[in-house]
Amino acid sequence: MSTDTDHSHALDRLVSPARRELWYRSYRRFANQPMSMVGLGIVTVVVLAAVFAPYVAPYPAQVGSFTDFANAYQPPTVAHPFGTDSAGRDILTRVIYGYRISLLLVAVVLGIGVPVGVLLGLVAGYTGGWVDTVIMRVTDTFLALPPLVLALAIASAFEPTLEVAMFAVASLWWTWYARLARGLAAGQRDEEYVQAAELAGAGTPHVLFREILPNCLSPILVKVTLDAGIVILTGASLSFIGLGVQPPQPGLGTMVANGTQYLPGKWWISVFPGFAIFVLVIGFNMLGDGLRDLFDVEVEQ
Amino acid sequence: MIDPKQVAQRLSGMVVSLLGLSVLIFVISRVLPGNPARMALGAMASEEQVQRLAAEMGLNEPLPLQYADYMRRLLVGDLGQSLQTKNPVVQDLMFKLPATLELITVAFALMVGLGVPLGVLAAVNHGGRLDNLTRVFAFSTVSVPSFFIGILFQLAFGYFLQWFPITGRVSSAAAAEFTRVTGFYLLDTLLAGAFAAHVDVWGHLLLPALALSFSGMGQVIRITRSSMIDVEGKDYIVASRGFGLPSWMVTHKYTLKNAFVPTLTILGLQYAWLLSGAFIIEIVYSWPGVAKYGVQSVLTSDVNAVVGVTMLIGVAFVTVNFLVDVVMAVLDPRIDLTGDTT
Amino acid sequence: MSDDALLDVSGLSVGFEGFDGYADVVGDVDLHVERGEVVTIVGETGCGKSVTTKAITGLLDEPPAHVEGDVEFDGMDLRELSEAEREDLNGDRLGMVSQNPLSSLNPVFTVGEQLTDTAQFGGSDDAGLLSYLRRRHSGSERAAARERVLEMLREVQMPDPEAVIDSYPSELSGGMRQRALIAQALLNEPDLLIADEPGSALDVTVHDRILSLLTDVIAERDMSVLMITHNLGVARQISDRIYIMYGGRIVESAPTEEIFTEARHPYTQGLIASIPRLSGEPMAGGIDGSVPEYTDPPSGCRFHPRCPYADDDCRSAAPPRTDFGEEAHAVCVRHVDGGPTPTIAETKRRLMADDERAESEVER
Repeated sequence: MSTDTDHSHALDRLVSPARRELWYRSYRRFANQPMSMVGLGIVTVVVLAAVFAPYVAPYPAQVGSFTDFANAYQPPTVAHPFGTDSAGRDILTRVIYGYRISLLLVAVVLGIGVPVGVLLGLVAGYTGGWVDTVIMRVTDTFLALPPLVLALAIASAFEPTLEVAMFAVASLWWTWYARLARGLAAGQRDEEYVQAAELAGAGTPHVLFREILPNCLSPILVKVTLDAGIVILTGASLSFIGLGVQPPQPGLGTMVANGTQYLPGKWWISVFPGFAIFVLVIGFNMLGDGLRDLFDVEVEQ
Repeated sequence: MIDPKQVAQRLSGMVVSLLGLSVLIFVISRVLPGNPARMALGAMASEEQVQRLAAEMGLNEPLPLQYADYMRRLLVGDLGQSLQTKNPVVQDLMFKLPATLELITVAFALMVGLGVPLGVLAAVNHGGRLDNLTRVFAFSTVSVPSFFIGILFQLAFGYFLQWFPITGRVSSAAAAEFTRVTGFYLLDTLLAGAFAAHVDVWGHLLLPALALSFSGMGQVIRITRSSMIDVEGKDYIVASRGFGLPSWMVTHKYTLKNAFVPTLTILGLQYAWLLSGAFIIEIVYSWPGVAKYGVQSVLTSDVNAVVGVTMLIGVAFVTVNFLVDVVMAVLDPRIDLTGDTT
Repeated sequence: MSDDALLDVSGLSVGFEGFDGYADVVGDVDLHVERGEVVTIVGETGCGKSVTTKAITGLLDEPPAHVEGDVEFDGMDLRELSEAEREDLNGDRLGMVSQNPLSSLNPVFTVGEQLTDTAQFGGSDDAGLLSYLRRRHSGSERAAARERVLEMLREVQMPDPEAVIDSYPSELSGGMRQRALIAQALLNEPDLLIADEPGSALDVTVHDRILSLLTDVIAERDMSVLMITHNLGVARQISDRIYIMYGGRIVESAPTEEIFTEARHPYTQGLIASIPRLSGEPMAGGIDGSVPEYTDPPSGCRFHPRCPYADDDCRSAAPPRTDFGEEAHAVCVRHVDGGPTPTIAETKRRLMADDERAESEVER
């Protein structure tokens, strides 16, 4: 019996009961929205499938420059649920590996864009003055073009590869986070807890990361989730145009583009990879929307 | 009504953005690794040929000089020659712009014409089955890659039902019935009195426009619905129900007008975003507009054309955003034009 | 209760389903308004008055609201009406003046547009889109309706009605907007006017003028009125009979004068003891505490945490209703179960003793 109470005390010390109650209520609210749960389910399944692709995909050997022309253009069957492409490769396998590339793109773009953008935005919003002006002018410049067009222009200066596409998208995505974080930081500059920390002699890094940043986390998390979908769409669009993933790599956008020449007869070559993009993006959007309701934050998209 | 000083300040901000954009594009086109002349000529060209083109393009000058020259040309509207078509880029753009504008405008009309009523429908039935259906639809439109929806429409309405042509702007038979005057074929066919050709142009327009409209429709539905619901809870709407006004009048007259202001912002911004979607849709439907021209010039490393298209889109994008802000300020005096948008 | 009551509410209860659980806001409300009678419901902000009137007039969205009970208006069961029948009734026979004049006029239409629509289509049974378009743009009918609006604006003593009718609400003062709303409510000559704290959001002087205007208009028309207020003084000035509401329950009812001389419920007595008097005699500093949480209300009598007489009986079970003659009743266990019978003087003494204790604690 005593070990039981000890255990609960330890838990109390780690997370206060009030906070646990809040978490539990939040979880109940989230779980009560079927769409958010569906979104969470889709994202989880796709991420797991992508991570464990070599074990999940039916024909891991058929991902890249594999050819089996005897089996080319197979319509969907039990052996090949999504059919096979012009080189006789299993499309389901390539879709699962394509998810890997899409999620890698998301990880790289947001992994670079979020920290850089948030840091610049916090500094701009908190310090104000000319630093703010310069940083915001630079973001204005980037925001003067839709991301796809800007990524196209950047990609045009290089040979088309997946790395270039990632670089192009990552180099502009930080601007959105800079604006978001700047707004949040500027809104907190005059809050009492910030002023109290300043009066206590806290340095700028302490105020930025210990006082201001924690209050920015939920809007940033919501935006990251909603953005994941947009990054995937942007990357797939670049690949579709021919500027991203190059064959024989299994980019989802590349696969759709490749299949268009076989429409309408061999529709499955384009349709399944396209549908795969749609499923993952809608998963992220439903999840992000649920989180937005949960945290009750408004994030521009 | 609105403060001219605020407009001027907002305008100067816009000019700064465009200047910044010109620098950015210059950096992309001249400074980033990769020799534009080499990229344009391809791997097969001899070193001598590359050198000659580089000299022609001024690539051997110092960078500041190159920038000064580039800015001087930009300001007089000289974007140089397309390496691909050998025409002046400005001429190419002017020739192709009407096709894109026509496509975007029809897409915009579809987006508003379908999105706003669906948003109202969802709001009126909020919490009900229709609301949930609309919600799923709205989610789908923002989540579907535009090239995929384009292909699905081609498959369904083009190949399978054969209601519409699959690609292009006009069939060759119809094209013979009118001459290009404005470049807007819907207008040109009417000017020529060629009604069969007019119908043909509509047929070519509808699928790409519908596919293009999808990307923004979810946003329009969403904002219409949420602002309608927001307004429905206001005291003045409860009061007008209390006065016994018919419910359709409360919804479509008293609520809708209030809900329309936030919707309008989104609509204006979506018009600018359609420009971005056109880069995909014009490829899928072989639509001979500036976006397809832009993609082709990117793929062939046609530097001057890339700069031209990018600047054109940038100017259009920034201008539409500016106009939306001004219209909003006219409609709602509480909006501060110089205010930060966060 | 006589048989010809114009409005007869019995067993009304309203709750809301929310994230934090079910909120039992209003319960066991019985009330009636006779023809030509002016009745007020008095209670603190948050005691469920507005919810009660909204439930009566059918302006609550169900769900999230959950309404039960009978609401009879002139022999009709209002809870059974279809939406269309309700639209006919509202405006035409039931008029409403809502709480906040600053937010109750639509900001993007002129006052004239809104009032003329009410005059023409409020409570009318024939107003589909086509007939609206025809009648809205029929010069003569619209002009007649506009004339009626102008007349009504003059009657509510609106300054410069010809200019006001073409103004947007944001161009008018709070008092003018309140007058416009009263005019809007009266346009279709309702039999029963339901008024939710009219003018209370305005300056005290403007509020007074609005009340005397309302008193005049009511007297002239021999209208039945159900009014809500948090101010006993206002209720005394305007009404024939008063209901006292606490925590979503009616705790006492009596003719107006009887309330002030012979209040029976400790809550009512506390309210009266807290009214400042010109004579300068000391007054109680109000009743400690605030209105209860509706998701987790106090057990038994909802007033017991704040009541100076509370004992175990009050905590264990809801108190029964005791009638005093034809028109008065109180819902308090003290009138059944013995113990000290609450009187205004005794309640005041106890409240002031509480005040002193609290003060001395603060000093320490």
